[in-house]
Amino acid sequence: MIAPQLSFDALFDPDFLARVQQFALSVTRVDKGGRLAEQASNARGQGVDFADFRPYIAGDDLRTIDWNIYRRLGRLFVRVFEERQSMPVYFLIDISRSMFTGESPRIHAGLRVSLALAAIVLGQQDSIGLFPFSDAMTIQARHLSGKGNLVRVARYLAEYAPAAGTSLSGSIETLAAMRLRRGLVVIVSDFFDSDGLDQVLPALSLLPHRTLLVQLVRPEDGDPSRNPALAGEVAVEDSETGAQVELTITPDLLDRYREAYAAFNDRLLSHALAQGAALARIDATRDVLEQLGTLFQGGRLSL
Amino acid sequence: MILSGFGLTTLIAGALVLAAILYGLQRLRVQRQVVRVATTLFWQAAAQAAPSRVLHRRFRHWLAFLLVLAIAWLLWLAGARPALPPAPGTRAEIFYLDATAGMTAGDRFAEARRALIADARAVPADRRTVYLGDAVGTRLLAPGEDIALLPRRLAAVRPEAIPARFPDWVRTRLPGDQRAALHYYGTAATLAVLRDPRLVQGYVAPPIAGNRGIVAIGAVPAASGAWDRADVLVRVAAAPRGAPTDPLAFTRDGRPFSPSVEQAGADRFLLRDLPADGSLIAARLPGSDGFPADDRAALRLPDRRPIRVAILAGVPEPIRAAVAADPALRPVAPAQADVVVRAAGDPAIPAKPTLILQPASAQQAAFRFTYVEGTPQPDLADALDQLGLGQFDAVALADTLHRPVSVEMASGPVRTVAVWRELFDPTGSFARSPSLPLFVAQSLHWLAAPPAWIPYAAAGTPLVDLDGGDALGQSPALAAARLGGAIALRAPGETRVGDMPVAVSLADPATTLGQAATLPADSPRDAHALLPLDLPFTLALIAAALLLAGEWVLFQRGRLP
Repeated sequence: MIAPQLSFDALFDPDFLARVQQFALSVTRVDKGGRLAEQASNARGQGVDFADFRPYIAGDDLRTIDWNIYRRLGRLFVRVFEERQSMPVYFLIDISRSMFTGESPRIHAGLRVSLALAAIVLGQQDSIGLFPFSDAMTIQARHLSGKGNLVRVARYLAEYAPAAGTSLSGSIETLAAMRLRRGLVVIVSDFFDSDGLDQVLPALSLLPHRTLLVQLVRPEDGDPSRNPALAGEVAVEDSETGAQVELTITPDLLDRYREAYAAFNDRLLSHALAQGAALARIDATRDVLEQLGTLFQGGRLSL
Repeated sequence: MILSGFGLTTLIAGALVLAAILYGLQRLRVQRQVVRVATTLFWQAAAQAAPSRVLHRRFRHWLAFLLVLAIAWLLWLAGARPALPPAPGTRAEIFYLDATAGMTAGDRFAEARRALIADARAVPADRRTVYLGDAVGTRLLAPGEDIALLPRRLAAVRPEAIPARFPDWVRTRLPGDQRAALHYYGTAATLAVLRDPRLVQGYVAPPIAGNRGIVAIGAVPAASGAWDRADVLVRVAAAPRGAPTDPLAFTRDGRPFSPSVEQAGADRFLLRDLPADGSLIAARLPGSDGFPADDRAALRLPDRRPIRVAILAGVPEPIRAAVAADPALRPVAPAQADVVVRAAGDPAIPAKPTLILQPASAQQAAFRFTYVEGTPQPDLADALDQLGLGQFDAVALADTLHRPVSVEMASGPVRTVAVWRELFDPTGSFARSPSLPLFVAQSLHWLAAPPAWIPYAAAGTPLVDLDGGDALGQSPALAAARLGGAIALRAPGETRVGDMPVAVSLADPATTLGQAATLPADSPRDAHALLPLDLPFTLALIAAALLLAGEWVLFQRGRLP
């Protein structure tokens, strides 16, 4: 059963958006080239954080000359400051059919998470890009900034309709090949790529950005006995490809399923830790804001 | 409870076999419910380690098995046809469905058939016998046979327009058994004829007021004496308060025909001197009266055209004179002749019946009749009077010829009559006696064997041959068809007896007059409120159907595997 799309009114909840403004999102350092903002960058220029000295050249601001050094050495040096610029955040959002399946579809939680993060990012004068993907990645918005664009982002998200299968690895590789300004990539997906993690994890390593993985899960993913239909003789049908697997549900089979699912999660988490990425596991059936609160320890998430 | 389908042992054995079969099927039964999930990759990984087809672990649904088993057992029980046992000492029940002319009108037969099936169903099979009231009284259902056979056997049955046979059937087939109950489904007229305490009224057709019909049609030799003519009599009858009889309409061989009709009484109509040429005369009552079976009657007229006789040269004058004087005989050339008359010296024509005049010295008997081989031998004693030889003075002739005069029979390829030529000596007593022209005429008629004269042909009655009463007049064709007994005529219409066409009509006064008959109000009626003895069978079927519906509902709701 394909769930209906989330309407703009249901998604754009002012109360919800006001509550996420308490959070802040940052990365260690962004590439220079952005607008002046709050994120640490490797750009040198105006700022308050001292970075280095360099010899004076004609045209430098006389206020940055360090007169103490001149008195000791007799040569002119100027103080160089670290310039704070905006952080680009790239949202890679899964809109495959598996995200729209079930009574509480993963896409609803995924869109709320995406909008919440977008509100945080735009609120701190950073920029975002929207790259929905299914069988392939598409570029919906490369650069959006300013709080005023939050409504536009919400409208974009509310228009997402179920597409086809999942090609997460291919979409990541496409994004990596775009040579975007280095920033943060947020991948919102169930990570159920038909090629498996064997393809997804190497692709993640190609990204030159910091990475936040938002894994959308449902309780029956880890414990299929919660689904009453999964009992006896069943034929499980893939929500994307329609392929069926005939099964006789037994305790032994359930155990084997749980083992396979746990191995999948462990591997994804291990890779995220190894790559310095963050992994947020969001239960699609629960309140999103509450789960985001655990992600933003102390109100800040720094990657 | 009794089981009429099969015995208790078979019932129990079959139930056990069913349980075993269903148990086996239940073990093998796989009904997969399709569940759409996003986690197929994990299920695939799990299924590779734990294949699903493990037969010995499938039997886990005891309630479903018991439900299916209950349905199967109920159907098996119904197949055994359980019935309530009849009360001890009860009588035999005989059902008789009249299928004669009275039931041809409207929906009488269909209604009687429905009533019969309903009543017979309520009677135990071992006490029930069902007969069809057709021409022979066919037994439709023997004691012990399943009632389900009755509708199938009655499906193609249609009533025939023949007189009612029920009273005769009762007298001949049920003479003694006073404990039997006889359920009759037919007409009131038939039922009223029979005063039998065993009789129970099952279905009685509603009366048809104002019926009138043709109750007789027949032909006799013309009173005018013409050999080749016939008089036809038609009789019409009307039930009480019947409509006045309108003029009859006639056809001849299918074409309108307006003969001179002479009314010979209130209900009799005479058609005089119709040519006896074998044509089909049909009479019809105009209008409609609700019982059409008797509104039309037909008769095939006899074929009495003159016999063509070839007289060869050596034949004496007395015979020529006798042939010439008889209007039924016509002298023709030998090639066109039906019969040949010749003397011993004349050339023989082998293929044709011949009257031969032999010298007394060449033949032992004075009269030698040769009949066709393979046909019945004529009764000689009867033939003598008809030939005119009964009054013949054989003694005087024997004295004259100094030889005994005798008659003998033989068989041969064709009919011949060989006679001493001396008998026809113009000076002899035989030649001068009135017996000679009678002998010549009768001999030539026997030799020619003209078609039989069928005066009437009424459905359900034996065929009557007007000439068949004497030995010389018997038709060879009818004799072959008769096979030693009477020729029974069945339903009205055109038929053939041997090689002779016959038109059969209903022509039954009792049928025509009985259509308006009603029964007295105190006539014994059938007890329709008999206990439904097949109640256990019906209940078993209903229970099976309910369980089946329940299973379907549970299956649709996903409560059954």
